[in-house]
Amino acid sequence: MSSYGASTRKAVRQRTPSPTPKWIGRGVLSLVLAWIFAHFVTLGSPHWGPGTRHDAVIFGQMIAIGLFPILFLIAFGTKNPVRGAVFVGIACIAAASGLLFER
Amino acid sequence: MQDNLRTRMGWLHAWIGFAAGLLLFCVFATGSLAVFDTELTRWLQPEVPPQAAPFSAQVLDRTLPTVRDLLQQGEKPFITLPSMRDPFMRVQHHDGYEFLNVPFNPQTGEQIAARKTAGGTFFYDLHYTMRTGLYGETIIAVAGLALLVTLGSGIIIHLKGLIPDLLLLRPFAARLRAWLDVHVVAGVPFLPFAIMMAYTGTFIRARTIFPPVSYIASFETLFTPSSHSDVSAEEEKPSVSPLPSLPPLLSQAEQTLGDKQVGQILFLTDSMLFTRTDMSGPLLTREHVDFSPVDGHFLRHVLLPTPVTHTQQLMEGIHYARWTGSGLRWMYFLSGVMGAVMFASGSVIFLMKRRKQSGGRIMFRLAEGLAIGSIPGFLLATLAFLWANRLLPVSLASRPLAEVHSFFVVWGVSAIAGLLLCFYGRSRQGWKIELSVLGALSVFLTPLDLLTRSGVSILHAPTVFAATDLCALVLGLVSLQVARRL
Repeated sequence: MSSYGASTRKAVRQRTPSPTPKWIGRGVLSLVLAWIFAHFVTLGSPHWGPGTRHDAVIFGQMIAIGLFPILFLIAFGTKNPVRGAVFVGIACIAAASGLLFER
Repeated sequence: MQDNLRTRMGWLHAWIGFAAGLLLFCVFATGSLAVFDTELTRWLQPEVPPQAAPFSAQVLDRTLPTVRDLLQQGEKPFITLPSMRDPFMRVQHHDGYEFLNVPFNPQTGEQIAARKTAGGTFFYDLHYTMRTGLYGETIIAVAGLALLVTLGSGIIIHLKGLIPDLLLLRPFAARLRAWLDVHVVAGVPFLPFAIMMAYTGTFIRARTIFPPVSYIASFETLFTPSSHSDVSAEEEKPSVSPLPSLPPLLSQAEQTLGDKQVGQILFLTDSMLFTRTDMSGPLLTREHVDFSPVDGHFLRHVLLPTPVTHTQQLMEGIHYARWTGSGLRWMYFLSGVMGAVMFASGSVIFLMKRRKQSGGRIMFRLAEGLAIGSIPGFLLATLAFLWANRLLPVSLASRPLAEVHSFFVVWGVSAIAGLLLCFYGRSRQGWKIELSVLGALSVFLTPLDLLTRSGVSILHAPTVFAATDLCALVLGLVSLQVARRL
């Protein structure tokens, strides 16, 4: 916490342009990608999840909610935004491929 | 501003935290109250004495006329059997928002003449729907996801100083530093609780945001006319046959569920469900034994035994905390309150950091007005609900609704007052006035309770009345102190 105030002062001194607009775009992209992943996991869970359809959906929702914040933070937090988006995009494709399973 | 992981996470933490935090403050505050919803209902019905005689199953049938009346009105009534938390038998039904109840003496079966109230379940409904049904559920589930992201980014920001910051509270330091300390001290020790509640709470309402069908299909069903739309409400009202005697059925259900393991008896048109009490353990199984409402013959025993449903039941059990004793419930309450303090202090920090640069902007004033309406304004409305319960005439028609209206009117007025004061550049007065009124209402709740409750004794065993009054007193003193130091 001690560096909180220091970093604010440093930011004022440097007068660098605010990256806020760039980060808003990155935040929206991260949200969309993480949401697509979570949606595909839940949608595909009846195809690959355990037990009855009810159990499989519950299982899918557990995974979706657990991984949503992690993927969001990865997509937003990586230094190179393209790398984060590609990583989460691959996770989305993997989740979507779950729809191809047949039980 | 440098572009590194910490600054990126700091930006995310601040903006998502503030945007969702005002709503999450209300969610955590109502959640803390909902932990004691049964006890609050008892405070809100002062005619029902604190103690009761032991339960006699033979008197169950004396509740049946009330049950039948409710069934004829098309409701789905249920009897709550006496428990450690509430020694009275109650016939309840859901009015679309709250569980309204009629208390009965557990030994004689006589109905107790108690005022009608929205009860403690008002806060339970606010907690997960904000009284707006499915839309509210969806918004709060999204806020739950935002909370998980905010907590994750907060952990990344504070990772280095997590343990040293834990021991650092400087209440008399500069204002921003003091609020930062409050934010960290309220957040860090209760982090496992916040993560657990955010995850389990969002999971419980996951169907609203992550349905197992595509969003396009979900959207289409919104515009598909319902097949029941042409059936008039009059035709839907069931004809209710005389109900069978309940004590033998209770005994039969206990042979399956275990001695004293039946918590509720739910009455549907085609079956009566003897449901396992929520206090039986951390798994909220909702296991039930069903009987026919016509002749009382056994229909079925329902229990979902798979590992996935057990996990789901465990998550629900640890979120609702209905199985816990009073000690753990107080821990839940304290943790929830600290969560609310974390959101309130985080919102104050967000505004303080931007006041110098953007204090004159209209968006800043709007944000501060919303913060005033959401933090002291919401607590003010909660106190107004308690005051309205005691001051509204007992014979008032639609009394529960009048209590709810009192809550929302006071919340609306305090939000509008907060916004107006902020737009006129008097935000400090806005905070001070609302916190002072909150302090006064909280401190004077004890005298109000003593004046409006019969059979009051200063020297008696700790009761729900004493606990509620004491909590209000603490809230009042804290509010007055914060108002003084602003």
